Order: sequence, then structure tokens, then C-alpha cells
Amino acid sequence: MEFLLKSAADVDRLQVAAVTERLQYVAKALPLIKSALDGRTR
Amino acid sequence: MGQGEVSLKVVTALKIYAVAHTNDDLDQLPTRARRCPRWLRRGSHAPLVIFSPESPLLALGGWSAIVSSSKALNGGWFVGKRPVDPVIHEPNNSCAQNESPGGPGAAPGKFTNRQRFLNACQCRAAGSSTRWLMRQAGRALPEYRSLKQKHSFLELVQTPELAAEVTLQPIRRFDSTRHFFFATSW
Repeated sequence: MEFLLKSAADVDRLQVAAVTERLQYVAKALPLIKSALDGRTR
Repeated sequence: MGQGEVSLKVVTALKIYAVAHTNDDLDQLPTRARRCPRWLRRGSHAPLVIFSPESPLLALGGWSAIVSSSKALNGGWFVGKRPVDPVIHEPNNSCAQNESPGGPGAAPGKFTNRQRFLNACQCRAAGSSTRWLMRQAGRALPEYRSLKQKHSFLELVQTPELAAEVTLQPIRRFDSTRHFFFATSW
């Protein structure tokens, strides 16, 4: 989804299918950050 | 949380954010919400990020770049345009069928704000659709702006290495404050 939400119709255009697959970059980014923080996370 | 510790836990991070379920809730945001710089509140930035509670991950996705707690940045809540319709998105069936203390479809008044929030995080009925309001602070940083000149916002968000870098930038600069990996995507 790459558009601004300006109305309820825009919200209807949002795609919620396959969220996990489409957000894999989040799962890949988290270990990078945790590694860089070197145990300072909780 | 001790000095220098960094929270990457979602719930821990979200606790400090306002969770507004209706437009009336938006009116109840902390006054600091109204103190954020005018340029930060321009509607063109699409600041109001709206999610239904079907997936906690959805609330975690993309705006990783922007993140940071930000008392040090003297920021406020990033409150944007209000949606036209206060009921934005109903939970999907898999979420709505999960058990919750108030039961699916329970009236909003059945929950405390805390319970409603926790229910939404756990994909349970929360009595109303949930909207996550996210503030943006990272772009105040010179190092972020420098990176932003080379990459689009979506590139920053969707490239793990870049998202990690911009997440770490405020942590490096404000080592003793809390910082949160925060994100949204579609």
C-alpha cells in the first residue's frame, strides 16, 4: 500500500492479506538491531 | 527500565502511545500532542496510521525508520487528520473469534483502556476498532536526513539494513533515553 489515507474509501483499499509475508523485512530488521544493541534490550 | 536500556518489546513500546478508539478518544490525547511543531502536523504527512487489531505484527511493521522515544527531541504526539469515519476497519473473523474478558462484540465501556489495548495487541475483541497513533521523531536528526536524501521513505522502511540503521541513529545520539522500534506497513 503506497498511498495516503485521506478518506474512508482509502481505508477500504488497504490490504490485510498475507501480512506476515509482506512484513518479513521487519523480522529481518529486528535481529540486526538487537545485535547492534548488544544485549541492551529487554 | 534502566539507564541505557533499549526496549524493543512491542507492548512496552506501545504503552506510552495513545490508543484512540473513537474520535472522542483523539480529543483526549495528552496535551503534548498539541505541542508538536506545526510542520509536523501537516496532513500531507499522513500522520494518522490506522490499524485494525487483527495482527499485532501489522502494528509493528514499517515505520521502523522513524522511531524513538523522544523526550530528548522535544517532540509531541504526531496527530494527524482525523478519519472521516470513526469506525475504520472491523477485525477479521479470526481475531473476532478469539476470547476476551469482555467477549466478542462487547461494548467499549466494558473494558478499561488498558484492557482494550492489551486485547487489541493479542488479537482479541476490544469492544471497538483500534487505531494506533504514531509519532515521528527521527527526521529531526541530521544523520537521518542525510540518509533520507539517498533513499526514499519506503526504501528506508522496507530494507532491513536501512531500517536498522535509522532505528539505531537516535539510540546512538540519545543513549540514555528510551527508544522503540516502531513500524507500520500495509
